[in-house]
Amino acid sequence: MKSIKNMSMEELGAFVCSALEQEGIETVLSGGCCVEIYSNGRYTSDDIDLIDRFNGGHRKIKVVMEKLGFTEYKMKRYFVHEDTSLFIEFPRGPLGVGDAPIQDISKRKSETGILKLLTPTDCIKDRLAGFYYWDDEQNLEQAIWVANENEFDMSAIEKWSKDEGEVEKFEVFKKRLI
Amino acid sequence: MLEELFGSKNRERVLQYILANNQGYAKEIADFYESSVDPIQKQLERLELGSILVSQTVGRTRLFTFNPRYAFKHELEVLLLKARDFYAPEEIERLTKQRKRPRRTGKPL
Repeated sequence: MKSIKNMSMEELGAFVCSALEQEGIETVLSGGCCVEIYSNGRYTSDDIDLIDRFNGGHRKIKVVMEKLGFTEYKMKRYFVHEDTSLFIEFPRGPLGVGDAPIQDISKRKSETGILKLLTPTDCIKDRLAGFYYWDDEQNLEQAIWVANENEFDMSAIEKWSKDEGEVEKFEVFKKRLI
Repeated sequence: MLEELFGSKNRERVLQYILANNQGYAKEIADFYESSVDPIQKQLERLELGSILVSQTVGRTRLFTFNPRYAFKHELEVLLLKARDFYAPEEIERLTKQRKRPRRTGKPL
């Protein structure tokens, strides 16, 4: 097994995700690191957001993380390790984009474990949510990167955008795809 | 009204204030309820940790709003609105009729 200092973001995510899974805590990678994976590194993030999908409990997470050599940073739910600049955050569930819970989860296997993460479609929705709600152009750009590099369900994104009342911004996104 | 459900009167106050004003910061909310800042700040932080609120820094102020990505945002707002209907008429008026238009700097009240 690789040491933590030699792990890439994806490998470290898989390592932590698998260790938690063994203790019955299901976590799913979301946020900027999903973009990093699906955009093949066009975007990079040091913040590994593992959503505690069914709110398995922060105390249990903390016990596992401490066994792995992490310590909790001042603010709860951030964990740091002396051998890596990457840090792990555990935003609380439920795992959802808009009103609906996310059911379809992707998995990526590496030598350090299995990483569960949003599908490209949900990753695009997650980024578009930032563009829709806060006019965040960087989030729009990230959604476009993921869309241009992966198979995804455009009709699902269109339906979700309509439900969110964001048809005009969806058209902005659609027009900028290659 | 929802204190037993939320486990804290200040948590309900924070949520009601932000619902009525679309945003809020600790000192402003504490002043509105004539409370001290610390317990309000604590509730804001807890709600942010639970992904119910999000915050942004504006100047030196940490401004909180509802998290549009929170899965139960709509349902929570409906519940808070219904609870507000049961408040004393003066409290409803104070919450909903706050001055929101601009006021020139230095202008006497």
